[in-house]
Amino acid sequence: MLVQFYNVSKNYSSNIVALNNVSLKIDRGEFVFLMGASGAGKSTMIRMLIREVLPDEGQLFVNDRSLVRMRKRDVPALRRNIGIVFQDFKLLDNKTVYENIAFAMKVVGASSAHIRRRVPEVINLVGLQGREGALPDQLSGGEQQRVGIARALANQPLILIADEPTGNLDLDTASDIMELLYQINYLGTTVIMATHARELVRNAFRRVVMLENGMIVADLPNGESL
Amino acid sequence: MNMKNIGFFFKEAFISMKRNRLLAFATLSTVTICLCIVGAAMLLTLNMEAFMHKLGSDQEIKVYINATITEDEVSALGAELREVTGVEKVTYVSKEQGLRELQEDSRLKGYDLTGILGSNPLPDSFRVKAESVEMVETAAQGIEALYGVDDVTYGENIVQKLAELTDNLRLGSIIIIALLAFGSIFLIATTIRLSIFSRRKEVTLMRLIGAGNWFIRWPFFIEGILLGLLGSIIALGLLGAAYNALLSNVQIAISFIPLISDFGVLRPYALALLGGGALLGVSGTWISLNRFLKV
Repeated sequence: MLVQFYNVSKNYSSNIVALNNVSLKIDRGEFVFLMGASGAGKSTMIRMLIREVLPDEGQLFVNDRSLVRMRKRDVPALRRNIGIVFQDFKLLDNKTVYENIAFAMKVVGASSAHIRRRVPEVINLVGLQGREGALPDQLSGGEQQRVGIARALANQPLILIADEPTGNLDLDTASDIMELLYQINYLGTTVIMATHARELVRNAFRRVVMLENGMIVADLPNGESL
Repeated sequence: MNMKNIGFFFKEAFISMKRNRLLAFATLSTVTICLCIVGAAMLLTLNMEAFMHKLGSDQEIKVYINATITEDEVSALGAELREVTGVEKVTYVSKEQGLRELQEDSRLKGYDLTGILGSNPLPDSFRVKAESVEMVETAAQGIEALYGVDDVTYGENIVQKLAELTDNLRLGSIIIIALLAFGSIFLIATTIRLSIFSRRKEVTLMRLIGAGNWFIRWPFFIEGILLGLLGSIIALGLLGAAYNALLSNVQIAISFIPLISDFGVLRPYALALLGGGALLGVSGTWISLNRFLKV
C-alpha cells in the first residue's frame, strides 16, 4: 500500500473538526478522487500527505513510512517523492516555462545534465512543445496548469497530488487537464485528486472517496451512482 | 553546502538585491558609515595607546644613591638594578654630571649654579628606563627595596593618569563599536526580512516540493554576508585613503604625535574589520531567518 490513513482525526480548533476518524488505503497505480464540499476535509488530507499538517490522533503512512513519527529533517525527502499540482498553479512569474520546471529540479539537487534531459521530456508529455520560452502571464490558464503538472512530474514522484487542479479553469480546459492526468496515471504514477466538481468525477469511472464534515461517507470503486 | 549549487545561491542573492536595490543600497551605505566610524575609533585608540606608551616609557625612574656606600657597592647596585623586573636600561649619573645637566636646563641659563649654591648638593644617582609604561611602578617598587638606595622618584601621577586615560579610551571605543555593530545588524536583518518577504512565493514553493532547509537559507545568508563584507571593504578603502592622507600631511606638521605608519601593525585590525563586516551580515541574516522564515 502506498498511502494508509488509520483512524486519523484532526481539529484545527476546539469546535472545528477537520477530520474525524478517517481510514483509507490507496494502492500503487490507483487514481483516486477525494470529493466533497469545501470544508469537508479534502485539503487537510492532502496537507497531511506532504506532512504540512500532523494528525491529532491516528496513524498515517506513505510508502510504508509513518509520517507521525517522521523527523522534521526527513520531510524534504518525503516531499521529493510527491508531486503537487495547485489550484492557483504557483508558477514563478519571472521564470519561463522551462525555468519553472528546471527550478523544481534544481531545488531538490538534480544535476544540470539530468535537468537538460528531463525538462524537454515532461514538456512533451504535457503538450507544451514550442512554449518553453514563454513567461506564465503569456500563457492561458490551461497552459499554466500544464506547466504546473510538468513541474510536479519532473522529479518522477511516486504520487501526484492535485488539489482542485481544474478549479480555476473553464469546463473544456478542465476536461483537457483531466485527460492529461489520466494519461499520467496510465503511465504508472499514482494520482490523488481533490475536487468538489461532481460533473468531472461522474464521467471518470475512477475510484471516488466522498467526504462530508471530516468523515468518509462513501468509497466508490468506479464512481458509480453519482 | 553542496558546491554545485554555489552559483545558484549567488545568483538568487544578486537577484534579490537587485529587486530590493534601494534598500540594499541604503543598508550598504549605512553599514559602510558604521564600519568607517568603527575603524576610525580603532585607529584613534591604537594611535593613542601607542602615543601614551611612548610618553609613559619616556618617564624615567630616578634612583638616588645613599652617600654613605662605597664605590664598589655603587657598581654592585648598578648590576642589581639591571636584574629588577621591568627594567630596560640603567645609566649612572654622577653628582657632577647631574649638576651639569641641571645647569644646561634652559630655564637656568645665565645663572652660575656652582656660584649660587657654593657646593654641589646633588647625590649620585642612576637613571632607569622601564620596559613599558605599565612596568614603571613595578620596577620602582623593586628598586626601593635594594641596599644603598636612598630614594626613588618617578612621575607617579602622570603614569597613573596616562594608564587611566588609555583604559577609558579603550572602553569608550568598545561601547561605540558595540552600539554601531548593533545598529548594523538590525539594518541587515531588516533588509533580509524584506528579501524573505519578496521571495515568499518561491520559498513556499521550494518548501512544498522538498527543498532542504539549507538550500532555502543559503541565498539569504549570502546576501547578508555580501552586504556586510562589501560595507567593510568600502569602509576599509575610505579609511585607508584618509589615513594615508593624514600620515603624509599631518605627520610633518605635528611631528611630536607619532602616528602608526607601519601597516604590518594595522593589518590584523583591517582583517578584523573585514571579518567583523561578514559577521554582522551573518548575525543579521540569522535573526531574520529565525523570525520570518519557517522551514
